[in-house]
Amino acid sequence: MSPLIIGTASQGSDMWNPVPVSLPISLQNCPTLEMEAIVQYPLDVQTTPAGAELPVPTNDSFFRDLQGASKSQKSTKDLILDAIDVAVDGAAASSEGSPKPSNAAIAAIAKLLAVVPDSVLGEPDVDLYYGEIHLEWVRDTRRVVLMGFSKDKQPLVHNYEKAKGKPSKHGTEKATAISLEKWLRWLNA
Amino acid sequence: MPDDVPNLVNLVPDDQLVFRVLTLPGWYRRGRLTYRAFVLRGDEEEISLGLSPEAALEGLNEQTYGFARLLVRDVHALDKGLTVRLKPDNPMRAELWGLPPWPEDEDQRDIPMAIAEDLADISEFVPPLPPGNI
Repeated sequence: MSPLIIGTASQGSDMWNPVPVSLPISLQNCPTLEMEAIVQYPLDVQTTPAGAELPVPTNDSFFRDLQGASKSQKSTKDLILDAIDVAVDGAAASSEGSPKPSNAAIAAIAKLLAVVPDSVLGEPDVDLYYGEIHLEWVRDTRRVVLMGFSKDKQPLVHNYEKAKGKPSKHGTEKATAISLEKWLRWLNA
Repeated sequence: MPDDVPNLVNLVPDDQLVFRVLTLPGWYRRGRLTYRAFVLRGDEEEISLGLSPEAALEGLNEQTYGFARLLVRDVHALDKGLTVRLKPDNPMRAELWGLPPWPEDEDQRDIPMAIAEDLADISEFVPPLPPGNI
């Protein structure tokens, strides 16, 4: 951000020279300084009826509310990418020596997730396998696995269904946003 | 007998339970076993099993996360060409043969993954043994 220039001295003074002024940290993070500093609430809005007992949050509920508010700001795909980060960091920290996924593998998965609606993404298990990323969704007898590869290779989506007493049905195809969404909708159908 | 023909003499009886050690946490997630517990790794040709949890742990020094318990009859009933055979040198140890290798070519993943999922589907989780029992 370029420094804010303020000149307030009288004419002829050396203090006419511009002086860079550092903003407080909170203001430095503002995307624009044109926003109103004080939000005007309409006076006729009353959230608690007159005379009603005001709710007093306990510490637990207060922090839970804060965590909930923080969580709700992240989209499902952000949470999945966070889980991938955690898995990759964990793999890097482990002593097993298994190669961790390349940035290209992570980027390929992120690119796919970015265009699939949050509503079908759910909460997959995230696991790594010798440099591959595996996201697995399970519902009842159906499973969908998205595999991302470290080599320059398009991700694959695998589907599996096991009906009791019958052979399993399964298939694997190249993962595109359309095919991934199709199989995730199939999973939840 | 050619090397690639299973030795039927050493087949484990159908009514025998066998145990697969879970050596990675990702093999058991959210209360269920995953296909990853039944994928061949690296140069593996078979999966090691024990006829008891204790026998399955023999020779392992790494951290483990419980066991997958399978009934041999269920493995054979999958009709995927899988056989459970006793190890010749240890009557309490067995091996699961017939799993397809995990292919280098990712496009060939479908069948190995489906068989691994079939095995996960017929398995039951057994928690890790208490430290005194190992």
